[in-house]
Amino acid sequence: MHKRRPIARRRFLQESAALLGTSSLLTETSISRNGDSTGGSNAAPQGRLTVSLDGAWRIADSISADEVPQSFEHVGAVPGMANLATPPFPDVGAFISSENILDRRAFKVQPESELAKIVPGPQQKRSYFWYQKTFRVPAKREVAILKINKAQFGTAVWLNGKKIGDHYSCFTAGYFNVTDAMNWEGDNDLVVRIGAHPAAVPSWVPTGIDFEKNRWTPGIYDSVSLHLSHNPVIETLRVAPRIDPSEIVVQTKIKNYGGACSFILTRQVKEWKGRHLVAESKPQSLSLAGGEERTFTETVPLPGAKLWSPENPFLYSLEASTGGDSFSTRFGVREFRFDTPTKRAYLNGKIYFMRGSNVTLHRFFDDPQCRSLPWDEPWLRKLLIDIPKRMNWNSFRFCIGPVPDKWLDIADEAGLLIQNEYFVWTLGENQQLKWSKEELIREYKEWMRDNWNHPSVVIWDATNETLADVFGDEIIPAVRSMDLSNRPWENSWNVPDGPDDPAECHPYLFAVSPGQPLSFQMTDLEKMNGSETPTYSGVLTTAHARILNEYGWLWLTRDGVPTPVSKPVYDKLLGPDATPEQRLELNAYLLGGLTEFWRAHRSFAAVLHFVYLSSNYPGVYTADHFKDIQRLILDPHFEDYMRQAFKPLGVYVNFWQPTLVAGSNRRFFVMMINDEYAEAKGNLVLSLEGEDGKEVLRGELPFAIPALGQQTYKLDFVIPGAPGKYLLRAAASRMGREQDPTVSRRKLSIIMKSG
Amino acid sequence: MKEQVQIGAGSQKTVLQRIPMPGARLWTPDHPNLYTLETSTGSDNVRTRFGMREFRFDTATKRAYLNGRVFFLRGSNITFHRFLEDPKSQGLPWDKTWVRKLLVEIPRRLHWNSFRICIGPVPEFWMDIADEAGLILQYEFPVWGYREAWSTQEMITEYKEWMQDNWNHPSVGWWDACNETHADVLAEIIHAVRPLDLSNRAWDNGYNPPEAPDDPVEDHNYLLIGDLAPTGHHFDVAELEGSTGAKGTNSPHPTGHAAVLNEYDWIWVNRDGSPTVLSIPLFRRLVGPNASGREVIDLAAYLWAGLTEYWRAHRNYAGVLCFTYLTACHRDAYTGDFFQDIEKLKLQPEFEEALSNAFNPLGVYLNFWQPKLAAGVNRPMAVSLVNDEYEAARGKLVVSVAVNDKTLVRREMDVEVGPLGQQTYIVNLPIPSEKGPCVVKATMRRTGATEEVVSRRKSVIE
Repeated sequence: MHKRRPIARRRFLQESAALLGTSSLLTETSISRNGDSTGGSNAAPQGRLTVSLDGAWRIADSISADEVPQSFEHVGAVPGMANLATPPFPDVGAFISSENILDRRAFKVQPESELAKIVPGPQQKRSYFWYQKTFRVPAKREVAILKINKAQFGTAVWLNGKKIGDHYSCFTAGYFNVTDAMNWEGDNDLVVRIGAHPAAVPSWVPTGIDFEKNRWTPGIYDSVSLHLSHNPVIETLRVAPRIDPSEIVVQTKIKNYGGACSFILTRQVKEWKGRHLVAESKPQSLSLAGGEERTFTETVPLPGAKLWSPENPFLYSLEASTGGDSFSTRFGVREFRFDTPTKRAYLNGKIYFMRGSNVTLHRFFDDPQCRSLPWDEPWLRKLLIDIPKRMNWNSFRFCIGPVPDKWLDIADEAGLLIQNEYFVWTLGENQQLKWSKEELIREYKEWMRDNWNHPSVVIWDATNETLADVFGDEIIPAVRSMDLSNRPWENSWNVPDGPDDPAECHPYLFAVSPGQPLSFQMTDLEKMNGSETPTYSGVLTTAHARILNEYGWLWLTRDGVPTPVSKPVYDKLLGPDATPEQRLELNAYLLGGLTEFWRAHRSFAAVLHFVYLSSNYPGVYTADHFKDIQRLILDPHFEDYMRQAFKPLGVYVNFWQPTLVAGSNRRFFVMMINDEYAEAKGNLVLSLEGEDGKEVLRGELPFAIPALGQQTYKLDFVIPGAPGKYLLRAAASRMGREQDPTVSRRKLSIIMKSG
Repeated sequence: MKEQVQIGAGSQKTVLQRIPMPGARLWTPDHPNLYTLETSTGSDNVRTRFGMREFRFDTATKRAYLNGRVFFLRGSNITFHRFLEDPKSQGLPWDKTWVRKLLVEIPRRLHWNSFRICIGPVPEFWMDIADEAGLILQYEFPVWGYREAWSTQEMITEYKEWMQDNWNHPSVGWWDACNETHADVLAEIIHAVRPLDLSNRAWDNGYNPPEAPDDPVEDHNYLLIGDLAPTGHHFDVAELEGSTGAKGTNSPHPTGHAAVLNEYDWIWVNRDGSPTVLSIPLFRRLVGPNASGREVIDLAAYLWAGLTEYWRAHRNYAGVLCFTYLTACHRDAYTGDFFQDIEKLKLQPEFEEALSNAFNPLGVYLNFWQPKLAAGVNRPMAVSLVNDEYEAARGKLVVSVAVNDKTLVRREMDVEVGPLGQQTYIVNLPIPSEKGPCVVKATMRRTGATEEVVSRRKSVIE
C-alpha cells in the first residue's frame, strides 16, 4: 500500500461543495447521542456518540483491488450511487448478466447476431470505486465502530492507512471495529472500496439476480456512521411486541471490548412522539469478563399499549443503556401473521386485507432520473406516505433488493406493511444459484438484524420466482428463530417452510411471448373465479395463504411506449399506430379492471400491483406509472383507475363484453367487497352514459356489506336503442362518505341486432 | 323453567323463552350430545331433541365454523328420491337397521361428517339418526330448475313447513333452497322464510348469488364432463399437477363467499360396473368399450380417490362432498352410487378403500399423475398433507415405487401438519431402472397409530 498525500480537510470541503454545487457540505459531519437517529437523545452522559459520515466523499476508480488510489478527483454523495459523481465517471453500471442475456433473447430485444457477441460480465474498464473522507471526532471513547449501512458490490475499509476489513454483502450493514486505527485528536482518513460491478466480488457472494436489469449501478447506497462508546457496548437491541398480554420481549446483546467490567443495564420505553415515559424495567447489575459477549432477555409489560396499524401507526422507542454505551430503537406494538386454515393475513388478531404495490429500488437505481431521489426525504415521504394513502394502499413488496434504512423508518411512520424481499430471483430448477449457502445464511441473518425492529416489516421474503431447495431446506430454517416476532417467510416457488408461511402468486394473464398469439382477453374474466393460477412448476402444490404480488404484463414506459415484454400485447389490443396517450389510458383501464377482479373474488390475502417504482429508459422490461418521477406525479389515468380499484370498499362489474345489442335484456353482476371492520352501507348505482356524459340508463339499489364481507348484486337493464359508444359505470356511495364513491367502469358499444 | 301464560279462547300465541344451560356439552360429529326439551301446558306436552351447537359459514375466510372453530366438511350426497326408483329400494328406506348402517356405520368408516340430502327430503327418522350420528347436513329442497307455473306463495308455505319440520335437528347444518338453479324468486322466498329459523342457519341457493352475507355457494366442478360433448375438452388427469383446485362453476353466480364442492367428477358407474348413461363416453375413452365391470370400477375408484385428494389438498372449499353415496341403479340411470350390494349395504371394496383413504381427516395427496416415468432418473414428488383436526398431526411419510408389487424404492421422512393446517413435502425419488407398470405411493402414518393413509398413482417406468 502506498502512502498518500494528506488532504487538507477544509480544502476538501470547499472543493466538494463547488463540485456538487452546494455550500451545505461545509458541515461535514453531524453528531448525535444514542444509537439510533430515530431514537432521540436522552442517553446517559457516557452514552454512545454517533458521528454521521454522510455527505460528500471523494471518489476514484481502479482496476486493482489492493492499491489505494493516490488521488481522488471526483466527488459524490454518500448515500448515493457512483454514477452521481462529479465529474462523472464513464460507463458506471455497465454490466450484462448472463440472466439478462436470456431475457434479451427471450423477448427478442436484440438480434441473435448481436447477442452472440456479448460476453456476460462487466462492460467497463474498472473493477472498483474508492471513496475517501476525512473526519474528526468530538471525544475519545474506548470503542469505535464504523457502520456502513449498505453498499454494493462488496466493501473494504481502510482507516488512516490501516486495512480494517472486508464485508462482502451488498444488502446488509457492515460493521468495522476501527478503534485501533483511530486518531482521536486530529483528522482521520477513511477510505472505503466498493466493487464497481457484481463481478468484483467472489462468485460465491450474492450480488443479486435480476433478469430484467440492464445495468448494475454501484454505490454506498445507505448511510455511513461512526459509533463511539465506552464499554460494554450494546451490539444489538431486539424488540418483539406481544399484544396479549401487552408486553415486549427485549433482547440486548452486549459486548465488552475491554477488561472485566461491571455495569447496570437499564431499559426505558417511551412514546416516540412526545417522549412520554411508558415503562421502565428494573435496572440489572451485570458483569462481563474481558472480551465477553452476552445476550440478556427481558419481558417488559406495556399494559394498554397503543397498537400499531396502517390506520394508526403508533410508535414507541426503547432506550437501553449500559452506562458506557446507549442504544435506542423504535418499535410498534403489533402482531402480524398468516393463517393456513383460513388463507388470510391477520394484523393484531384480526383479518387484514393487504392492498398495494411493489417497489423495485434496485431497478430504479439504474434510472437516469434516479439521481439522489432515493435519499431525498421529502421525495421519499411523498412516495411512501402521501401517494399510497391517496391510492388506498396499505402494503408494499420491496422487491428484489433491500432499501436504505430511511425507507423503512418512513414505512413505520406511514403504517405500511412491507413484504421485504432479498435480492434473489433465479427462476427454475436450482440451476442459477452459485452462491455460497453459508454466505447466504450469514447475509440473511444480518438482513434480519438490520430490520427486525421495524413494525412495517411483516414478511421476510427469501426469494422472488425461484425454485431452489436450499432456501426452504436449509437457509430459512437456519435463520427463522432469530426473529423473536416469528414473522412469516415467503419463498416464492418453493414449498412454504413454516406451517403458516404464505406463498406468492404471479398470474400474468396477458403474458405472451414474441410471435405467439395473445390468448387472454378481458371477457374471459366473466367466467373466471379469481383463484390462484398454476405456478411455474407443477411440482409445487400448496394451500397456504396466497399473496398476489404481480399481475398484468401491461408495462409502459413513462412516455407511453410498450416495453419489449408488453409490445405484443399493445400491438394486439391497439395496433402498432396507437398513440402513447391511448396506451396509457388502456393500461390504466385494464389494470384497474384486473385489480377489481382479483380483489373481488377474495382468493388472496393480499393484492399488490406490479410495479409502483421501477426504471425508465429505452429497452426497460418493466416500468412504473409516474409521469414525472422527480415531482412524483402519477400518470393521471393510472391514478384515476387504480385509486378506485384499490378502495377498501371494492366494486367490480363482472362485465367485459365489447358490445351489447340494442333493445336486449342484460343482467349485470356487481361484486362488492368491504376490507374494513365496520359494515358498509349505502347505494349502488349502475348507469350507462353516452359519449356526451349523459346518463341514458340508471339502476339503483341499497347495499350492505358486513365487515370484511363480500356480496354480489344483480341489476337488470334493457339496453337502449341508440347505437354508439357508452360507459357502464357502477358507483357505490357509502353512507356518510357520499362524496367519494367507489367507481368501476366498462367501455362498450351498443350495436343494432344484425339482420 | 315455568312461565304463566295467558291465552284467549280460540287464539294462538308464541312464547319465546331463554333457558340458560351453563356448561352444556356441545354437539359435534365426534360427540353428538343430544338434549331433550320437554314443554308442557298442563294439558298438552311436546318433546323435542336438540343439540348445543352453532354452525355457520364465514365469507371473510370462506370457511365453515362449528362451535366457533373452522370445520372442514367431508362427505357425500344422498339422492333419496332417486333411490326410490331403484328396483331394489323396496322397503329399505324405512328399515331402521339399514338406515343406521347407511348413516352411522359406513360414514364413520369413510371419515364422512357431512351429507347433502340432495333434491328432496328424507323421512324424519333419517334426521333423528343423523342427529345421533353427528352428521352435518346440507338439506336441499327438491328444486332443480324453476318452473314459472309454481306459485311463489305456495313455495313460501312449503319452505316454511319444511323448516318447521326440521329446525330442531342439530344435524341440519344449512338449508339448501335448490340445486343448480337460476331463479330470482328463490332469493325472495329465502328472504321471506329465513327469520323463521332461530338458529339463523345459512342458505345455499344453487346458481344464484348468495342471499345473505355469510351464505355459502355450491360448486359442481366436473373436470371430466368434457367427454360428453364431441368437442369438449377431454380432461387429462396429468393436468391436475399444475392446477390449483380452483372453484369451477362461477359465472352464473360470481361470488367471494364460502364454497361447498358438493358434486364432482362425472365418473359414475352402476353397481355392476357398467358406466352410467352420462359416463359412457368418458370410460370408453379411458378403458375402451369392452372393459369389464371390474376394470371400470377399478378405474372409477382410482379417480375418485385421486380427485377427492386433489380437491381437499388445495383447501379452496369449506366442504368436499362427493356425488353420490346413494342413488338409483338401473339401465337408464344417469348417476351411480358406491354400493355393490344395496340391500346389505356392501360398498364396492375398491370404492371403500379409495374413499376411506381419500377422506381421511389427515389427507394425503401425491401430486403426480404422469402416465410414464423415466427409468433411473431422480424425480421430485410433491406430497400435500391436510389436517382437518384440531391437533397437530405428526408422523412418518413414506414415498415408494413398486414394480410388479415389489417395492424397489422407499423414502421416509418425519412430517408435521399443524391443526387444520396444510403442508407440502417434496421427496426426491430415484426412479428404479426396472421397467414396467409401477405404483407410486405416498403413505402417512401418525406417530403411535397403526392406520395408514395412502395416496396411489399408477404409471409406467420406461
